[in-house]
Amino acid sequence: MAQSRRTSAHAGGRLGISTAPLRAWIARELAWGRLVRLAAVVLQVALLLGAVRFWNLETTAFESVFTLAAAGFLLHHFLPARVRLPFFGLLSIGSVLTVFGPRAGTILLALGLAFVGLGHFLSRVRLGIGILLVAGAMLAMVRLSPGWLPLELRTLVPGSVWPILGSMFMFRLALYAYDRKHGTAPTGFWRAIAYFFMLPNVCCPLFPVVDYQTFCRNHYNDDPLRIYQVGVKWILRGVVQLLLYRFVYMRCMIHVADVKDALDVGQYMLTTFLLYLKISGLFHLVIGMLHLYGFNLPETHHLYLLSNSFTDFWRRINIYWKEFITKLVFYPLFFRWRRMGDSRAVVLATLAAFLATWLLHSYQWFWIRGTFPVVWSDLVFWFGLGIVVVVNVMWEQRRGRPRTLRKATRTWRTEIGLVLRVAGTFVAICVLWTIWSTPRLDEIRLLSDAATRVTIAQAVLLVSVPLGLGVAALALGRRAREHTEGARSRALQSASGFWSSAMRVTAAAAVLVLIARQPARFIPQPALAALASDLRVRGLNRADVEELHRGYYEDLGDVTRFDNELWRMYGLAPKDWGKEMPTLSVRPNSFIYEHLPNRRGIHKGAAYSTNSYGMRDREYTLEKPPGALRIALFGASHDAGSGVADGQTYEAVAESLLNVNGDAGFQMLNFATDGYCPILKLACAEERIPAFQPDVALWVANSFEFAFTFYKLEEVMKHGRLTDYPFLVEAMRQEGLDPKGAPIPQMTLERRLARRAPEVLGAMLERFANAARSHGTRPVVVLAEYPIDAKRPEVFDKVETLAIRAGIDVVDLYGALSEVHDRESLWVAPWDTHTNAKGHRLLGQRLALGLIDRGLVPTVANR
Amino acid sequence: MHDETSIAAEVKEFILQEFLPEEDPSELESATPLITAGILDSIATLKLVAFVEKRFGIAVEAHEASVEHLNTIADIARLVRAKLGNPA
Repeated sequence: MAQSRRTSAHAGGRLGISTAPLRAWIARELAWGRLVRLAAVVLQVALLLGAVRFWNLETTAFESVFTLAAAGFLLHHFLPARVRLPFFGLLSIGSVLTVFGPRAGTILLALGLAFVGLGHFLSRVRLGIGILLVAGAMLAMVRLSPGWLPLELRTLVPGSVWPILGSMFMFRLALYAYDRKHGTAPTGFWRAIAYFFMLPNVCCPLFPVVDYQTFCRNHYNDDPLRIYQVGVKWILRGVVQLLLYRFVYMRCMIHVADVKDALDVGQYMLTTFLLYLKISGLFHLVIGMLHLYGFNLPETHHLYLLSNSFTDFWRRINIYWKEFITKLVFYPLFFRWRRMGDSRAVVLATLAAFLATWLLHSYQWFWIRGTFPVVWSDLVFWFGLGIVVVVNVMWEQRRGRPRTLRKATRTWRTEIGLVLRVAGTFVAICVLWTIWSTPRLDEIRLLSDAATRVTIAQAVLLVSVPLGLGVAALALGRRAREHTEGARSRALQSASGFWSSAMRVTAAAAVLVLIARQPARFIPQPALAALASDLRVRGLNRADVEELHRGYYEDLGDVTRFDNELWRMYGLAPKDWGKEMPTLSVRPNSFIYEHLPNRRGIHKGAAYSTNSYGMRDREYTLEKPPGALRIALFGASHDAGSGVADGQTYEAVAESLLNVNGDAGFQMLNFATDGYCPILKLACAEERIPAFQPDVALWVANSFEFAFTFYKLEEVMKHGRLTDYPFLVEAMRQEGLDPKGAPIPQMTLERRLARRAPEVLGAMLERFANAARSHGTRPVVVLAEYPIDAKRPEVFDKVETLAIRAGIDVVDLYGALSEVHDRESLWVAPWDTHTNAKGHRLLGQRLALGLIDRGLVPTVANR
Repeated sequence: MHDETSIAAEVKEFILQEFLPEEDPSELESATPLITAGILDSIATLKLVAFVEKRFGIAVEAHEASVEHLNTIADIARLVRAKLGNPA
């Protein structure tokens, strides 16, 4: 024994290494009980990764980052403590390069490191903060990209980098500099790398404002297995919230134009507020992931639907943001102003905190979109909330707030009071949230008008929702926020607590995975199984797709709801992405617009050109060549090939396939133009196409055909062309609208006439058919599937019926894209749902076959 | 001269009187989390700061009104003691 001790000591002494800590670590971490618990955590991580992937909950970039995090987790756990932070830092850097690629990733890292250095060295220097602000302003100038800035600077940072660079630094740099200045947290190179580039942030433009001091203090401040288990629990919570969000977003939302009565108003308000589940779900997910790397961070949201006052709401929702504002705004201002008296200082500092929140919200938007919005609804929301919080605070100061270290004593009076307070707070927050999310005054007016139309049954239903939340608060609302600030996570202190949590998470995650993979097998109810299948599809809901289509043609500057999918898309789009093709021109004194002839350029990164007749197509003669079969196609932006290059449109693909023998006997002329709604398609069919003597005219209808039937009606009326379309006049009269009266806003026209869309579209198709036949042209309606049409749109059947009634042949392209499960892979870009080249290829093949199958074009054998 | 024990006792008494008037004093220990458990919100924290400043003649700065220094009675006593030892 003595000899072995001497030997090992001698060996250790010779090498200068003590093996005692290593032996202690091995004895502790490789104990059978701990390994089994670690395996349980690994299983949960794997199942949750599966759930995220199979439900398509987030972007493919997020899935890649989560996979990277999961892969690195086990290795990281077994690393020596001093190496863990550098490992996490390197993994985070790796995630940046993986998601952005070498060039953009290096630019992001370089800029980031520059600001880390500035923040580190300037925070303790006199005027250092001022210099930091100047540096930030210079970067902001590059973000704004004004014309006078040299092109090299304007294009220095790829557009996709800005939102992430902003989310990494816009708030965390301030926290870092503050803590560095006051010496309240340790610093170090790898600590800074880990903090600023932390792993999930690279794919999340919206990210919790993690406090630097908390980040440092809470790193492995408890048993690692407990930290990991809290993490997987929160990842599951995030997954469930994101699924609920998707259900609300896809199935429950109601467009403001469709709101008719108080029940609809209630649905609109509730679903608008519940869109916030996107944020709370995502934040739970990312903080849960950070737990896997030992960052024992506190909960980001705590049962905010069960808030019992405005101050309680402020304390429960986006807690990190509240603490950021408290640390950097509220406390410093209070301490500066308390000479005026504590009460006055509290009021002023609280109002300043909400002013700062409003400003910083727009500041955040600036980095993401490159514009600094000043929207009245933002002001109303934040100042409104600020004022009610101030009133609440003063009330609590005078009356006190019930606090207890034990369970509260419950009486009938306290319970009823809690139910009513929760219900009242929820209703008030819904009202404020609705105002915030509905920046157009005419929409607010629509809602307030509709709210006055209510029956008793509807009133009972409406009241039951907030009261139901109040009742839920009795069971759940008093639960303490999950904190792990230096104290053990109470729920997981015992082994039984760990295992009960692990089993619940494992079971829930396994169920989610199984349902995602085979919904019909595991859900007996067909409707629920179909719902589960639908919820797997990531994308926009119908209302947002309509808004997006409108946004292509209008300046949609009011997309400020941070929880809207459209916001994400707009946030990601490069500033110069462009909406319509820049070649569009309105005919003089007309509502009709078309492409200018002989134009070339780059639009959405793709080369485009127009021929001498203003078609986005190759050159054709006006006269039809002898023996040629000429087809005229007219539709909207998808059909015009927005976002794809010349020759890649499905029209060009179909033309090539029909001419497969190379004799060019078929010509397909593409008259499709961005923004062509039914009335413009009809005008095109009547006024542009006949001159080219087509044998066949293809009216391309899409899933928005009814939704856009009355689009541009205001323009038609402004140009005095309404009487050219008697069916429009008749529809207006039937809905009590005076065609000759005062100008009516487009939104009112669309809302009031919406139910007339089928008959008006039917009349348009009849007129199209008659006009075509009068010129010896065979009319055809093509039902075009777009990537956003995950299921066959119901409107296709109705349009088909109308077409058949008008004696028009129908070519149905639906199914052309069905083999592609990830529909977003058919988008031109993550922020643009137009069909990409792959989608056009599939549609072109289907169109060529469809024309042949329907006998609309002769086959090669018959020609 | 105040030591940490006496400081802690006075702070405990203040917290019980001001924020937990009906609480059993034995429930409030020196390691009981106050801020992180929601007993002290931001306004209550400022009241506590005002108390310790007035009672012990110290000046607390904005960055010291944090979980780091004020989460438990022990933390508070440590902060006060440090400030009494280093008045600057």
